[in-house]
Amino acid sequence: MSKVAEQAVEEALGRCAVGDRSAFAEIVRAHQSMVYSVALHFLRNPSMAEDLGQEVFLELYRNLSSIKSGVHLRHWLRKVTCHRSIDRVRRGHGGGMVSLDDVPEPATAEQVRDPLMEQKLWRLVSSLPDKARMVLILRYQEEMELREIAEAMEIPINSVKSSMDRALGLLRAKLARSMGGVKV
Amino acid sequence: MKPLDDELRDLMRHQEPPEGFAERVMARIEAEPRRLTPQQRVSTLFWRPMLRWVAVAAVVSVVAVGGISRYERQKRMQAQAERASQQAMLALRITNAEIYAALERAQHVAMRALEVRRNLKPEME
Repeated sequence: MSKVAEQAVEEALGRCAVGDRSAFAEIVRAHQSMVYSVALHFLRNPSMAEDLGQEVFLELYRNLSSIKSGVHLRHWLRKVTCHRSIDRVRRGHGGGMVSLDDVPEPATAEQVRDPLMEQKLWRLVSSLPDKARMVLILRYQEEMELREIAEAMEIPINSVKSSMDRALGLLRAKLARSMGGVKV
Repeated sequence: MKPLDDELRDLMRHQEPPEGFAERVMARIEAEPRRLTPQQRVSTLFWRPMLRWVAVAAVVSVVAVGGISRYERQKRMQAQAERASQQAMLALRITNAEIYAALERAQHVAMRALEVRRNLKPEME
């Protein structure tokens, strides 16, 4: 997030503290793509991801008084989204893989991509254990350091490192197998 | 084919939620009863300009009253100390005069005793 955007969020936080609800809408807009994307990539279901995203922001609204800064807000949102996503899958309400066609197109500039490769990769990522899947999402979607992932998921850093190594090893092996031994 | 790291980064790029997401969140919040924390209630009060000035005036008057009473207390203590030192000086002066008078009396008695002895001596001879 840029410095200007960060400052705008800080200002909005200040206005929220005095009960200005329109400022809260600004905070939602500033972070909605992060929250929605983590939920979508983990649950692979757009309507569930939207519902979870809304719940996360409702929870934020109820806990606004505990948020100290813009940086704290981002950490809080990542942490709560990650825990609520895992909880939802564990309670058996998550997943239910949706076809790639149902997932809305990203807002970012379109690049040349291989849809078959993406589909295959998603299948492989979805077959990973919950914890390893969330570690990959936080690492590759949010570009978070291992230490930050450990803090967000409230697990030891060694556990993050081993989950990541195992997940990447597994993905490489399965991809290579599915591509007839091509190294990735 | 790209390295796996790049493939994953592409795969997990940010996606915007469906249009109107923020409005739907706000609608759910509006549907909730407004719950302000005690902290929010206090800060809401101070957000009103009139109350803000009242608060500033209250703080200024508390500081001023505190300062004045402290100054008065210091002045009172200083006067007490001066009175005590004057009394001590007076006591010393009185004691000094009494000791001097006692010494004079003792000297007078001694002189008279000497005189008496001197007068008695020729008679005995």
